[in-house]
Amino acid sequence: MNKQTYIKELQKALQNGNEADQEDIIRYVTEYFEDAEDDEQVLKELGTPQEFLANIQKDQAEQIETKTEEITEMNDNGIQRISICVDLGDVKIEKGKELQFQAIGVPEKEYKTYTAQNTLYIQSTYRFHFRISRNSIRYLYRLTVPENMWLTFMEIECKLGNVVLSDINVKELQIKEHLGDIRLTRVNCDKMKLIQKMGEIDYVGDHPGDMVLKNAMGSIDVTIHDDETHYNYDCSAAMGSVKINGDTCEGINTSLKRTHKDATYSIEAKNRMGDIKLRFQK
Amino acid sequence: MVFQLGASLLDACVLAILHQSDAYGYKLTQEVKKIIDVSESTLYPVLRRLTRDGCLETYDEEHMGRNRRYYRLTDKGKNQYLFYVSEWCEFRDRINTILAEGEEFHE
Repeated sequence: MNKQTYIKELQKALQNGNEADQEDIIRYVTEYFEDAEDDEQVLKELGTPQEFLANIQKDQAEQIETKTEEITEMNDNGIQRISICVDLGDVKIEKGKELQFQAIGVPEKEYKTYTAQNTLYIQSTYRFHFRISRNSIRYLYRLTVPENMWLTFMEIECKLGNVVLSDINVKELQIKEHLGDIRLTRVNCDKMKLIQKMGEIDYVGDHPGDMVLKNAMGSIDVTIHDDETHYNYDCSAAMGSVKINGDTCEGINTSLKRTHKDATYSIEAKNRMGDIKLRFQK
Repeated sequence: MVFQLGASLLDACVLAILHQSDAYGYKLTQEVKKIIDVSESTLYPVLRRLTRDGCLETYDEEHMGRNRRYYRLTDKGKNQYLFYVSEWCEFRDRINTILAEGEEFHE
């Protein structure tokens, strides 16, 4: 086979199939031959015309399953609240130029998004089951929120996967996580409630507001860049240690509690099995 | 290399190369090949998909009496590239926390 017969055969194969942009494919291959200036080498690289086409079709078939979706200009709709409920996959919310949603690696039929009453909903649409294929190894629901947007409420429920939030301002935040980690970086709230069955809870930031943290199994690690006297806290671990700045207590059913007369916020942390670390750093 | 290259990593490499400069099909394939072992037949679908997704656009430029089709990044493509960079850094760091400990044996 040479360049001419290859292209001819490719054209023939394309006619039999139902290929939308035949011209584009032919053009690409023709130019490739011309630029490479080594027909034999190219013939080796491309594989047979049938193989070449099979590769394109295979890639297309995979793409249908992993369409990404974007929602733009959502500010205009007056979104103030966000509600996310997914069974499988990571949820990542971070700072962005505009409110934008992407589902990466998630088959289109497995989630839906809609808005109602100032609320953006992102939900899994299938019942929880393990579907591990090449594409579902890592589902990612990614939402970007503009910096100047002050959300009033955000709730996230995730059954299997991590919930990662950074640079977000929201008055009230609720996260319920079954298996996976909750990681919050520079998330500013008036009030937050994080409930975790198994995994880690991590918070690093300036202004968590009132905190309620519950973990059945795993660690709770909180670093607040603020004065300790602004907070009353009550941390207890059924099995595990509690460390708050310099103070440590270990054993079964341990707790550390402190109140400050100028405190404006309270932190309640409960861990059944695992350690609690709370640090105040200016 | 024993490590398998996933589809998203290949996308990321193509976007990264085009972030440096526009390129035509053959040139792009050669650039990708410098980094990873990939056969030509697997690269065309990547270009086509990225173009359809709006990450790339094409334009023609005259070369030796014929038109050559060039690929370049769109704004969306640039964002996607930056997204891949941040995801890659996180992934690399995670793997490094466990794998890099063995580096001393290698040296």
